[in-house]
Amino acid sequence: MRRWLLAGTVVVVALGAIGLGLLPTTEDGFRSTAVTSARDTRSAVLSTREVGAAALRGRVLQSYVNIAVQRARDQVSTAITDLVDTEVPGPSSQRLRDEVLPMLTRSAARINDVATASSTEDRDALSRAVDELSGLAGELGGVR
Amino acid sequence: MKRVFAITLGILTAIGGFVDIGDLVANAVTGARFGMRLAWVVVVGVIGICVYAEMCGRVAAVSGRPVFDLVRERLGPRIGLTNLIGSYLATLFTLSAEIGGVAIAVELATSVHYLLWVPIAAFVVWVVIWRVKFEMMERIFGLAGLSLVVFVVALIQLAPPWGQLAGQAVTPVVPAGEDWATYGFFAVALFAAALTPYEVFFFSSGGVEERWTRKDLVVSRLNVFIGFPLGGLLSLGVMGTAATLFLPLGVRVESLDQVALPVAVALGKLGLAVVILGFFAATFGAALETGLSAGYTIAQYFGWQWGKLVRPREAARFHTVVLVSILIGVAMLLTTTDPIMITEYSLVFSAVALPLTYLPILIVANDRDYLGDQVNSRTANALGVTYLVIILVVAVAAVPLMIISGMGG
Repeated sequence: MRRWLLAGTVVVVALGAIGLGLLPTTEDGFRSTAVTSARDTRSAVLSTREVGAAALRGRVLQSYVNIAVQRARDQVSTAITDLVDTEVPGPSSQRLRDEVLPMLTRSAARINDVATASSTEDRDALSRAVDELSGLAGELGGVR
Repeated sequence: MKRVFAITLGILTAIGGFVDIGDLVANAVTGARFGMRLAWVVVVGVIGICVYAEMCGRVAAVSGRPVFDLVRERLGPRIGLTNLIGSYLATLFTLSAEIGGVAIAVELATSVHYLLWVPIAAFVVWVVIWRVKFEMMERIFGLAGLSLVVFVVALIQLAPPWGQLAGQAVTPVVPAGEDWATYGFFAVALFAAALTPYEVFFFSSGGVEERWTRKDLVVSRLNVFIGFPLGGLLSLGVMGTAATLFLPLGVRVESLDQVALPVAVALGKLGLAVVILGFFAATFGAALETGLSAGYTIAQYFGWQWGKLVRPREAARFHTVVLVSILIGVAMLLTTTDPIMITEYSLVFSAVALPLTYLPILIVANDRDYLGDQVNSRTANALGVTYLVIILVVAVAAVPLMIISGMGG
């Protein structure tokens, strides 16, 4: 009897969990995903900015820059995938998506710029990329 | 003079050996998100590990037998088995995380992807466990781990707002933008990082490997009461640098390279090189300790010959367990699961398994058959019981907090 009760409970919980996963995305749910993606990207952008600024002052090894930038790129691409994979439930979510997605893709591009400029030792390009990352961080911080 | 040197070396080793990948990750992540508002957990954790490591050292020195051996004998095979399963699984997760940490440290120095380093790192860990003498192994990596002092130097160089950091430390409230569940989750992770089960098994088995006797009780206590708290200071250094650089920016720490960034900003390439060496030494040393602890726990439970005092051929089953554990650890990493995620899970699992490790130690440390006049004093018991209550609360809260906070959000 106890075993059946336990098995029944497990089945109900499993079905509940599956059911929750199948529910359509709400406007709030979409906003939450967009805000999280923007927050994670902002974190990666600011971290890369610090790495870039340290590289400009000759304070980091190139091997370290490569790895740090690669990690930041992975973080941003995960954020982009999360947002793109989320169903858009309505027009206001569509507007939010159209606002946030370009920021994320620009972030990925600017992070790439840091990697390229650092590996080619192009100080001007590196300095520009660092400045642009600061601007992007400000924009991403405005996503609420 | 020779004795003073031995004691100093032991203390230095304890300082360097205290910090592992769990401490590095948990302290940096919490520093970046909460500033020093969770520093009190490090202090509570260090006192806890001191209380129980002292018991383990005393048990090893007086009885000449490691704790796990006595747990099975004193509490019987069933309870011993529960203890074994919990502790072994927690140690296995930690071993995998440490090997991942070694690979990431080499990746930071070479730019070659860490997954390519994982099998090599694991092989070298196994060879060192197989071939190198216990004392030499412990001393080399413990002392090299001391290079993590660079975090304290970097913190001073960063010239943080000391008053603000101190203010955060003495008013441990949840900051704006965070919630209680997340705060609680990271408190649990930090506590588990300080009291990881393998530390006490390694400490007690290491005492037996080094042939401690009653005469060595002073050495054991100095190692514990000076070495571990100073090791805790390194942890606070990691937290402080992350709090200084990342908290004002709102950057979240999600990888080991970020943990090193404040040191690079403060001290430049030399500091970065030293911190990468520190990561390597701390994680490699901990991989050796967890690999050995995996072998110790199983061999001691089943009553097999164990340790590095005997030739590998005479302790074949012990060495087989070590090898298989390392292979399982490597397999976990080669699924491409992020080592930092494995570290976070290992901390949660350690938190759940803590009572299984620490309750038996408290019982054995009160048994006159093993310890004679060296059983726990009233103070030791009062502290031991207090910590056991904290450990139980942490163990019960770990999984719910993990779920509610979404693994810390």
